[in-house]
Amino acid sequence: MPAFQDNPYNPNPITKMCIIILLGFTVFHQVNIYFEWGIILLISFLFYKNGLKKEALKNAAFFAAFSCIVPNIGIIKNMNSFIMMFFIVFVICRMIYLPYSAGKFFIRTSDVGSIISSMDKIKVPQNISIPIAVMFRFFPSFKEEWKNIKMAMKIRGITIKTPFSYMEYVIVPLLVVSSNIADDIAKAAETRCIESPVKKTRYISVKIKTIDFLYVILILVMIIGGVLW
Amino acid sequence: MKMEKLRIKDLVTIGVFTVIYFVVMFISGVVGVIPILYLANPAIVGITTGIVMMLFMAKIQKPLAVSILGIISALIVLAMGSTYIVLIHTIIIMVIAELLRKKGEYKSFKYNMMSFAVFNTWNCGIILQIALAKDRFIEMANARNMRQEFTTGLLNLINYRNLVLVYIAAIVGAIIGAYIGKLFLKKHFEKAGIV
Amino acid sequence: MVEIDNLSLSYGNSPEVLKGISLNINDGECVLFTGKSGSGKTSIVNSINGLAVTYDGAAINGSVRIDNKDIKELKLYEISTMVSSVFQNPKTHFFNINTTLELLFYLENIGLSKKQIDERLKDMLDLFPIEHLLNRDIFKLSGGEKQILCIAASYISGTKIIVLDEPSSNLDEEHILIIKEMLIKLKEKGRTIIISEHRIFYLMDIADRVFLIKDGEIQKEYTKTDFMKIPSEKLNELGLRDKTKVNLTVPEIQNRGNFEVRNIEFKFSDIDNKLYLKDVSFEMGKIYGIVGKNGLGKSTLLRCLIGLERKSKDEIYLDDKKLSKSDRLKISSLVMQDVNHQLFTDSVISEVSLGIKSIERSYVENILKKLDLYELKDRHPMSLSGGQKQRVAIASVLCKNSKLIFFDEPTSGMDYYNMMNISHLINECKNDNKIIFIVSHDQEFLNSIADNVIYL
Repeated sequence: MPAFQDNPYNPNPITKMCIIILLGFTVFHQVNIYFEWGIILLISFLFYKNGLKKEALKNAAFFAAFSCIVPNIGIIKNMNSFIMMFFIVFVICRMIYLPYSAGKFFIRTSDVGSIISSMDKIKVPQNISIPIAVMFRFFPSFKEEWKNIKMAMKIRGITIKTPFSYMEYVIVPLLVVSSNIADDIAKAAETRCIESPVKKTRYISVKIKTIDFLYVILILVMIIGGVLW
Repeated sequence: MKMEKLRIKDLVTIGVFTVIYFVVMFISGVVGVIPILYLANPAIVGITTGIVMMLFMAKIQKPLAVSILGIISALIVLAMGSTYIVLIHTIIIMVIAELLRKKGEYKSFKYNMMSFAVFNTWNCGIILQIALAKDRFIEMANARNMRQEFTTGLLNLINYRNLVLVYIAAIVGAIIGAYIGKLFLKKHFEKAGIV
Repeated sequence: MVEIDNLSLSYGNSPEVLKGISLNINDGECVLFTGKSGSGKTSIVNSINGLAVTYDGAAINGSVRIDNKDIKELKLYEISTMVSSVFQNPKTHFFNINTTLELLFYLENIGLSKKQIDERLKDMLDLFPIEHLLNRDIFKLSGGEKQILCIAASYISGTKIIVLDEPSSNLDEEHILIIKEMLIKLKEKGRTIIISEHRIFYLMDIADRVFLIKDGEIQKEYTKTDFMKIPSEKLNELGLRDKTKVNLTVPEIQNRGNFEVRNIEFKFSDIDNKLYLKDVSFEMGKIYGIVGKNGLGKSTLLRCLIGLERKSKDEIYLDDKKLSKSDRLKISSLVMQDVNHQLFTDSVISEVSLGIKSIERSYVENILKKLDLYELKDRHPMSLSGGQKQRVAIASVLCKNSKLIFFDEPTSGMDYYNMMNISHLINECKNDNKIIFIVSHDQEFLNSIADNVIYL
């Protein structure tokens, strides 16, 4: 697991998050299709340069698929409304695709250390940055505990055939065990002086690189261009 | 009534419960794959997440806890591919939810329930943004010469009247969820000593 | 210097856990607090690092002073600049996912510059060569490796005092010895080491003084030489494990019997390793210990035998009839290492009869009485103590009356007295119609109960 992503084609997490918000703009405003393709291809290029070749292809392929279904509305217009519902799903997917694509890029290429360092850099308050850090820390434990509980249920012969009891039997140990883990995490953090009022340094530093400027400028250009065209 | 600050233990609990909440919410949302049922999604999420949120509210009886959980959840939805509408909508909802919590001094079941009912409507934000984008959609549809019946049919589904229904369903679902949560608190969590 | 003066401590409305403890600990000393479970030794240690008051909600009388400061007046993070803590269960006590970040976490929090952090890192690596543990996913580390990381983090933080609460609890022999080496080096560097333990054999070269705690009071204080003179039987009487390492004396498996494991193959998904077992037979009515280094797949083997691992290829026969995974599930019971995963209902009595069709209430009540749980029958299982929860799990195993009974590390962290109790309980489960499998690295325990062992 590469903890320190020193890849020069990897923008820092703040930039990536901002892009997602910027691209939200394209959902509400018509952007010329060529410029939209430009954005998609830029993101695919970045996926590729960060070693995620499969993702690069998937990104462009799905966009193409969703884009093609919409023009075919004329053909299916005589189909019954139930099937039209499904096409609505495709249309919505198409509309939301650009921020989704940027979101995927953010999730796949950002490591936890950088995210936390970034939050510190833009002075996100502790009330938000600590819970977010804890979420990354807790999620793998959560998966493991859930697995253990399901195993225990299987041995006891508790099956999903009685759905309400099943949910009760899962949620109770899950919440109790999670509460206990929360206490342990808090103890570990406090005994390492997390509450110290001194300004914290971060071992992993987050820098603004060329790619950050390029990413933002290119996206902005394409959004504005697409709107004006 | 003093404003209690959130301590490290509380912030860790918020992180932990946000994970649990989001997972339960996500799994409940599987139902939403079928398009029309997606409109019932906030209501269903209200019912299923009641247990988690009622326990959470009982564990941290301080301001801002619920809001932080909601806002972080909205940020995750945003990172997964949504628009800033979801974030702004959530912040507004959280302000109202916090005020309700405060009114009940963070202890009263009645006010916690009402707070949760409002809180749950943040899930409607995702549908709201689609409704707001409806105009863009119509544009796109017209640009490709879609038939009038189709767009009218669509308008019928995603209109503001239905949106209000989605909100009301979300509130009702959350109230049911809150009562289930109260039941679990009494039957299990208070006895287990984790409150 | 740590000065404890007439310290009394209680949790909530319960009777006092510590009664008037007074002692001093000098700089650079290594002090061992030992005694039965529940004697109060953990509370003493938690009083020194400040957790007893802030996390466990204890009320204290008397004082604990570190370097002339009364810790009652200090915040937890202020105490933590003087005292580092190493906990019993490394599985949950960490905050970061990246091992390097977890190691340096304290240094980040006190605001050292990157240059200073790098210097300390280099200094620590000179002392403890743990480069192989750096920059990894902490979830992929074994318990022993996590504990090593934690002790290294305590060193790198530079605090004068390091407090350890039963650090060897979940570790195998190899890692206990590594921890011993680390503690020796820490002592050479002049750190004050305060340990609470009942598994004491690895500390006999390190401890300067030993305090025997009983019922919340200091029963006796020993120098190292005096303590070494105590015979093993007396130690066991006091609830302690032996002061010299105990070797496994159980004979190896003889491959007889009608429960045949002709083949088990399981490929681990995250490491390049396979679990292999071929042509091993077990006899009914016997208790088998499964031993091996931690991380090699003992728990996985249990899961394969029970039929829980979908991806395992197995050919397992009973009386020459092949048992599928679901067959084995039906005839198996498991007591897990963390019993919290297997408590589902809101009363002991319904918990114990859960999942068993048509069971008579009197049968259940008898089992509860045998395990000393009858008075607790209406209590919520999650509100019980750790030992009681384990007995509830064993009670439900007895109620289910399965042919195959599996235990996963049942004596983790237990003192001698409780370990022998579990040993007797498991003997009660023994029956000509059953096979009992126990995964354990507790040699004293296996010596007392297992008929044969199988090495992984």
